[in-house]
Amino acid sequence: MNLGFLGFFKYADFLNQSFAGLLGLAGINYQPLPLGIVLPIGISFYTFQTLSYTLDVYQRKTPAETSFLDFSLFVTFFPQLVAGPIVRAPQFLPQCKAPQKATSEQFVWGLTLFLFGIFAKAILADTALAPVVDQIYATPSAFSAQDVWLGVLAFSGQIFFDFAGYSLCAIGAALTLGFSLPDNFHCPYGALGFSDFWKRWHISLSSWLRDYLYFSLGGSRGKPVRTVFNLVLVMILGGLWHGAAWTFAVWGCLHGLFLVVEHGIKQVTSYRPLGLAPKLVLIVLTFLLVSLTWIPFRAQGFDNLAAILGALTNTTGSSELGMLSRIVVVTVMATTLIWHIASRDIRLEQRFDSFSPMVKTSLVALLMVCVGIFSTGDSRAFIYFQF
Amino acid sequence: MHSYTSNSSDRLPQQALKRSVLAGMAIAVLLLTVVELRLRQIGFQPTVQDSKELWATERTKAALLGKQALILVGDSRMQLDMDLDVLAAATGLTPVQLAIDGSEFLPVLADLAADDSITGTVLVSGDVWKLVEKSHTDRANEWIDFYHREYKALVAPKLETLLKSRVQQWSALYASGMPASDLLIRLITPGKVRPLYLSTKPNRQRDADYQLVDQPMFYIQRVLRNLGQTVDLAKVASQADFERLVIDALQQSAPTHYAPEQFFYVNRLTDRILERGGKIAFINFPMAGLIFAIDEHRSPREFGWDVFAAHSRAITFNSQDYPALNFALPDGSHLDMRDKQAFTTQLVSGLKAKAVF
Repeated sequence: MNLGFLGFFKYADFLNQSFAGLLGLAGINYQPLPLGIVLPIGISFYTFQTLSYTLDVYQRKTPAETSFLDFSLFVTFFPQLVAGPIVRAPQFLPQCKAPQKATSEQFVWGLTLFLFGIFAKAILADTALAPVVDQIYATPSAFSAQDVWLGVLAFSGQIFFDFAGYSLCAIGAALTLGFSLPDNFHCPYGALGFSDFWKRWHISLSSWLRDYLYFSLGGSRGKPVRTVFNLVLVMILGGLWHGAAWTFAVWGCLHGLFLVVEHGIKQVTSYRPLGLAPKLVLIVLTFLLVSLTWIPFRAQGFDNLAAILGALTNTTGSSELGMLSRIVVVTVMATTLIWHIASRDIRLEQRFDSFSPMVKTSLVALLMVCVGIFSTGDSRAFIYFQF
Repeated sequence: MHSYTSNSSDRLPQQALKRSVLAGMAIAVLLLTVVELRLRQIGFQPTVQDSKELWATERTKAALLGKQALILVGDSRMQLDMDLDVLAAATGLTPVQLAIDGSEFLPVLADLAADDSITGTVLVSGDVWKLVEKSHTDRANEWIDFYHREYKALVAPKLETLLKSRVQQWSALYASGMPASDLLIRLITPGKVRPLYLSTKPNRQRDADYQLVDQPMFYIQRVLRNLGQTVDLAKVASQADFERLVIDALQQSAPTHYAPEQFFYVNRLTDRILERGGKIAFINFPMAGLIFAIDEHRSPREFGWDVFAAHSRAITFNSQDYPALNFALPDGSHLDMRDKQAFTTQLVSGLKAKAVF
């Protein structure tokens, strides 16, 4: 039932058009009318949330909820309803058993997380990076390779700050009400390889796919070929979860293949980077590969994807990014990378705690002033709202 | 690696959290207040940012008001020259501002004509070359599309537009949609601190304060923009030189003569509104100086406006025929905010004489 709703609202048009394309290859002209289905906001998130509950109850991992009100709150809890984190029943339902009241520390930390999230979204994603990304992806062939690379890196930043920013806002808003939500990001661009990346990026989705799909398919317990199949299939489905377009499937497939390669290298060589230099090399390599995989994720169709890939080696270009835009992208992305590397084993609250009171005060003041002064007021929706 | 069940919200910072965060917030509020006060001190005022969301709000109103609606369609002249309070008081109707600065307005008229709930009075700006159907899409098409697809039936964008315009009315930091970073650069760059000459009200009425612009440069730029040709300003030593250069440039293009069939489309739209019991009038707003010369050269009245007026079932009103509407136009095209009340009063009198109201 859950998947039926998701399938109809999200994939009916896509399957219809894909079927027409397939018939076209066979020489049959079939032009379906668009169904004009409006995608309910957040359907991918709450479908997975309710699906996990159903599976957990079926597998007797969690008891069936007897209170309709508590279950309704679990499904519709507003901070994370539209874009996650995807919450599991054992994480949330116990919190509904007694009235929640935030302590003053929880309330203040919730506000702080909310501020961090707004800053990430409104300033870093929307004001600093999105204009560059929009410019480059609109006419990639007009720009030289260095600007196109900057645009590709800028999207790595935009998607992270957009989505991690929302997650922080959701976690912060919930905390001001006394509710705990799970982490969704932990310094993903400081990841050592793709399997590490997926333990740090959209954690609530990747753990969902691992627990309910990958393990159900047999995980890595079978023959190597079966493991490869499982990894690639799970990642392709993960890609299609994001959107009903083949470019998302390509994105998922690329991640699946990189996971397979990494898995293979680990099996064959048992190599683990130990020194600082090899770790740094691996982190930067992972970051660059992840950034390249974002190209099909962001591209508006395969023509746009091909144009961007072609422009990565452009030697000429009639347009160029402004110097200020270049400086902003390089500064933001370099700082992000350094921060993710430095904090890969430290949690946000630990990092915050490591600052002196003066630095904490200055940081909060600076972020608030930046949000007040530099946010453009554009109503640019969160990217993950469309999923 | 921690498992997915870990919660950052379970693990609170231990050291001086409340004191540090609350002090930071207080400092931020103080700093933002100082910037806001400084902006106001040097003449910046809060102003709403004109946007497709705000336009969609007015478009909704046009559909709801029925006969009571007085709908204004056009471009910057309709938006800058009309005083909505005066219009409301003088006509007893409720003005709805749907003009879009710098746009083609025929798509808006087409959208209204196709909507059976539009039964009120429609005033359309009458630049003759904009009354001819064009194939290209314009910002107006984008805004109309936004209204129908992303605004009309949804609650969230209405709420967001309301909240955003409230904040913009309250803070000069959002002045006229200029990014606040630009405002700050102006603030710290000597000689660049100049308040914006345009302000927008929540009902989309826009006011132009020409005391805040650099004249005659502002006028010259407006003329060059309308001319659409380059003029070597290095050769200009006086106003007469500039006028001669513009007239010379103008002579390179031939005037356009319009045929009645070029207005079939706009006439069809007019008929649909009239058939529903609505009223519609086309107004040719005043122009002056070189702006008038450019317009008259390219679309001479007898071969443009008069052809349209002779073949339209709508009421047509040309400001050139009304000396009472002869107001100063600082950029040759728009009224200063100080004159718009008097202008609107005179215009309503003229329109009443033509039985529009």
